[in-house]
Amino acid sequence: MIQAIFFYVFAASAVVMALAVVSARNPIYSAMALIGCLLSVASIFALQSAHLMALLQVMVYAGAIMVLILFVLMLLNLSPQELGERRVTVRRVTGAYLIGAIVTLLMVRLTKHLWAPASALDPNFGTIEEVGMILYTKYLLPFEMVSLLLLAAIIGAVVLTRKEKGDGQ
Amino acid sequence: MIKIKPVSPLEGKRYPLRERVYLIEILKGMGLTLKHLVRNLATYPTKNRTVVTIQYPEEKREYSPRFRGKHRLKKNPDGSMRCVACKLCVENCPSHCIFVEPDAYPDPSRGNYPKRYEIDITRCIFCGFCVEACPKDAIEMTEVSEMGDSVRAVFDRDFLLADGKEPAS
Amino acid sequence: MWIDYLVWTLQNLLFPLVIPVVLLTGVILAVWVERRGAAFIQDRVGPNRVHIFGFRNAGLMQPIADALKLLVKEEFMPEKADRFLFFLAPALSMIPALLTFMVIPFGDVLVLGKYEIPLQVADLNVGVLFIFAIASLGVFGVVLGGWSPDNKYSILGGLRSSAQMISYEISMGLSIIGILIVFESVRLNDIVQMQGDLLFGFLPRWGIVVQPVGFLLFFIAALAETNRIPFDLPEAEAEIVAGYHLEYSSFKFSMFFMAEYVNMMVASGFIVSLFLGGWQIPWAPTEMLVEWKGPLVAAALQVGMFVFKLWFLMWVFVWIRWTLPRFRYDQLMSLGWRVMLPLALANIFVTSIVPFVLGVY
Repeated sequence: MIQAIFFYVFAASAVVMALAVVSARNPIYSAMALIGCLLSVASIFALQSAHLMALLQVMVYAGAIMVLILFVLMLLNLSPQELGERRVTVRRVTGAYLIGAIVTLLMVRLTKHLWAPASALDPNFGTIEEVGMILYTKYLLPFEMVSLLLLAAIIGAVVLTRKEKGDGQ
Repeated sequence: MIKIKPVSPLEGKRYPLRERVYLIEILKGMGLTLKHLVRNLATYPTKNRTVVTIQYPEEKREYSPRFRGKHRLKKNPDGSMRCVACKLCVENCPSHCIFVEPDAYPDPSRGNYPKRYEIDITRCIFCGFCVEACPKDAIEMTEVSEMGDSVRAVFDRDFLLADGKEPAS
Repeated sequence: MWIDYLVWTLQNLLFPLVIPVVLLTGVILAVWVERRGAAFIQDRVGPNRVHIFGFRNAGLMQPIADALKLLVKEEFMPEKADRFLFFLAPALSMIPALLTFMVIPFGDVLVLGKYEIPLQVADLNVGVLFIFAIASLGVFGVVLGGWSPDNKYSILGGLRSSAQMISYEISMGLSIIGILIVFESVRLNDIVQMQGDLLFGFLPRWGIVVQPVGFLLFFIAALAETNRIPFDLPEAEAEIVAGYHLEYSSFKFSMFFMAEYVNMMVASGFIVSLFLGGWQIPWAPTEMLVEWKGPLVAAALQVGMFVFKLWFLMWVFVWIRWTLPRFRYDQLMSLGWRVMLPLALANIFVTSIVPFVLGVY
């Protein structure tokens, strides 16, 4: 019961924050709302006993990536003039319509499963041991492929930012 | 022709490895600070302390006899003012903080005396030029350094006269 | 049974409420230690004037007077400041600082009859990660505090801080992986429990003994994460006047100020739990203490040990601050990325290889 209350609180806050991300005028506010949204989603993860997921969400997205985003926003420090005017365009209307359609579709599909009886969880569900076990046995190949992809991205970033000798002098 | 090899600023001046690692140097520095701490703690409540602080209102620094503090107008042995209101001090004052209004004694043989002699102590830079300029040796600077006051910014004649000991000669 | 409710209240209401109060009170002590320690290191006397009815207590009243002064001072708000974020930033730096202490165990599980009271607010099975996750949120307070007043010095402080935090968080996270490998757990209480073992029969199996490099790296990273000298570039008074809290005054400033000290205490508590045996009293396991004087005395001794270790580390923080000068910005970055990161990776590599070489598995 109390879990359900918290779930709705966090879910509502996630939705409100997500709306604030797209509607805020100031990009810093958008970023802050995104942090709030990520934290709300992390809380929902925690409520679903996926503690590891929740903390990784906070640590990686809210803690690290959003700091970088804020860093860039602060460097740009856009003034209201540079942000342009708020106006209604065909593209925006179409986008809003499509999002509405997707949300409706998802609601319809998901509400079918809403009242399905919850099965009892394994007590190990969501612990680091369990997640690690699954990652390194069942999903070893995709996991390693993702890590290769990340490595390639890191090397790419290093190559792009590295100065050639005599460059820029 | 002598060919000069360009030398990078670091070349030939690298610190030895022991210092470049920095950790050992940090530990040495911390040893030094610890030595001071222990010495000061060991002598903490006693009188022969190693601290250099002067506990100001109770303890005071010994000033040199040549210290230029608050001004004092000297008196003659008979109690009359030495100042003859010649205004040489006013002329010499680099910060224009002295104001003198001369007046004549009723007895013409005695010449002038200052009816008003005011030093704006907030403007005074304590250079001592007034003392140097005085032909009558009528103004001197005392060792008094505490001139803080919430009302008196301009030291008037009587205040300058009243303060301090009787003139030596 | 009323005693059930009492135990429940103790665990779920009293601990979460009392610990922030204890931490904030600790700030007073920490400020006192900092100022008096600094004075004694520099052959000075330090604050010794403030008193209540002549009760001077070696200057311990000074932080209280400072706090009162900050409370009654004028609240200043720059004209062009972003009002909402300006208000939000101090809170954002304070809350994570207080939250992180919640998973640090300060004593073994207290067994009173059939009741088991863990001396810890929340015994999460992902305790170490929780600290990292919440601590990484603390940077937002600093960043927003730098951005919102619309002051160029503040924004420089905020930028420096975000770059520094990201750089050192990586080394910090990597430096404890060795510990996690050695103790095979991310639950802080498990890690502390395991540090009660003895190596070769006499040496406490503390993290600092089995992971000296990890300890060093983590300690340096913790200094950087708490913005302490030699890594206090975000607030470098000489170059950017005070960095992110330049425009803050009164209570909002004191929030930043207290957050710094609470962060120090959290960092100390975390280092104690990971590397210095937590609440473990060396060569005296819980059973022995319980047998000796009963569970309450044992718990008190362990909490005392934890507090002692924590304050020892706090003192080391202060000691380092008054010994070292501040790093230059390029030195900071090169230390973080070119020294600490490779060392941390090498530490993980060696830690994972050694058990195989020694044939532990």
